[in-house]
Amino acid sequence: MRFVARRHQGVTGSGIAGLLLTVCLTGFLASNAVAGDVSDLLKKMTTASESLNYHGIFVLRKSDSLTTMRVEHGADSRGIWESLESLNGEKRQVIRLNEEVTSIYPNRKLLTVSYNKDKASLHPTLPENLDKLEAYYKISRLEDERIADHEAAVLDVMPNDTYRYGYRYWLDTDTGVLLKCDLLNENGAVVEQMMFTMLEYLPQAPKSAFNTVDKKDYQTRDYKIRRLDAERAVVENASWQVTRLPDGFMLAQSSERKSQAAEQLHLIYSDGLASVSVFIERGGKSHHRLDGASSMGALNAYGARSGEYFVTVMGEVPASTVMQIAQSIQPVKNNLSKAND
Amino acid sequence: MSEESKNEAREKISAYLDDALSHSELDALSTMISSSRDAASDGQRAELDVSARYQMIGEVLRGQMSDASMIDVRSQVREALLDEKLDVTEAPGNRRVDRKRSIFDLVSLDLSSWFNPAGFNLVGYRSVGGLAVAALVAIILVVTINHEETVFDKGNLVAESNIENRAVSDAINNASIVSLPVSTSVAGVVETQNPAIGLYPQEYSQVNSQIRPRVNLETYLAEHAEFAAQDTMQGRIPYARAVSYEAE
Repeated sequence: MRFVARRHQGVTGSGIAGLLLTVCLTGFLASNAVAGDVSDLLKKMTTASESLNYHGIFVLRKSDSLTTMRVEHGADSRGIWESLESLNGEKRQVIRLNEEVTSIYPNRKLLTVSYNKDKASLHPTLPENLDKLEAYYKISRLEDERIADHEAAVLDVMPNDTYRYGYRYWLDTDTGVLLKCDLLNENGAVVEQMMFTMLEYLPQAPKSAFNTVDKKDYQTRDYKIRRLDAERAVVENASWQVTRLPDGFMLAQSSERKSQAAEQLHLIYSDGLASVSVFIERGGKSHHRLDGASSMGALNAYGARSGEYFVTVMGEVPASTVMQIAQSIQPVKNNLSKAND
Repeated sequence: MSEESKNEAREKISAYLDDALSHSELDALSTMISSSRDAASDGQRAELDVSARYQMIGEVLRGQMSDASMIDVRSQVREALLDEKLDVTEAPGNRRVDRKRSIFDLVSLDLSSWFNPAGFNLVGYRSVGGLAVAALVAIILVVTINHEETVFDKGNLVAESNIENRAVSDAINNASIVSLPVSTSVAGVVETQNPAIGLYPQEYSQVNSQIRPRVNLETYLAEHAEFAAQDTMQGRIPYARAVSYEAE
């Protein structure tokens, strides 16, 4: 009996170990499968715009408003073209043709054009930075759903802290097109929602694609972006720094832009998913500047004055985050020789 | 208007308040009051004004409000509101004002001047019809206050600053961010006479206790969208925000 018992113990012990190993291996493979799956989906999403032709209608819901928009997207040998047009309220349109972005305000007979050349970001973008993103967000795949009559894979990207919003993506399982997106606050409440109500893929670019805008009927406001060395965010003889940034946010771009009122330094911080713009300006009329907090759905802004400069911070992060960043922006006095390098 | 007609009118008004009039009787009452007003003397007009208020109540309920129906109620409502200490709060991004005081509390303040036409027996009707009148006047208050607020929604306004900071201060208290000098009161109350940005400070202050500056963030939004759309996983949403923001 003892002999038999020992044999059973041996068998039982190795059985438990084998079971544990199987469970661990299964979990490892499963999590890797999910990770691989997520990575594949994200890659599909980022490349969808480069090769697809489609048109559709989507709604954008913010906390207190609902807007409908028409989108047309074309991609061929000429490049990538997209038109976004509001279908309610004042008629607005944004047309992107490769690196040129044209905003049209027909009611005001105003058209703005920007050229976004050399837009390389210092921050690695998805999906290459998925590993880094996982330090601040938990990414998981949920059960598939159906949006606008297309099968959609659902991805949850939830933050590990309260400095950023959570995201839920519904991606077309065939093409990777973003069909729906929810932004969630720290309480899990939806602060902004985008969803296609109609999406039709086309065999070729829409007829209106790649049409240039006739500018003769518009007063035009052109401006160009000058990229600055990211190590130097310089406005005249003062440089600026943000002393309190949430973990994971780093300077992604800095540029100088001249507007009608004043010169403006634009710093962009990003954690790879959320982005925050910091505008530092001098001049212009004070009553046109934001003073305090403002909320527009998922987008929060905060304005403050720092001496003779106006600071405006804006981003799709919680209001507390933009306020923290705005209130931690400080000028760093450099000597003139350094500032003029 | 003869004494007999006045009494008849009062009886019919009381019956109306008690919901005892048929539709045809209601129309007859409305017609009688309207035609009598034209032939009335100054003294009689004052009394008929009170009756006209009841007529307006009826029109509100039947959805037949017109410009002619707005008989100087708004100024009285405004005065009643200013007399009271209202705790005005506002949710982020929301222009509506939540009043903690019950609307019936406000109505009861000045009810006597509306509900005491000469010769009316107040005691009986207050006990029987007071709540009904309060409810009816509440409808008028809602109609007039909403009318005020729509004035301020017009114009090229694309953002409001000084949205309530309560959510912000709570978030800061809950986060581990530390000790920044956070202002929890509404900041930067600025009064401007610039009609181009559609602010009407005089009227606005009579509805809300604060005047809020309105600034145009569309340029910032467009510039932010250019980066956010390119380098983050948000696709076209940043541009959609810019387009929808400008369209509001």
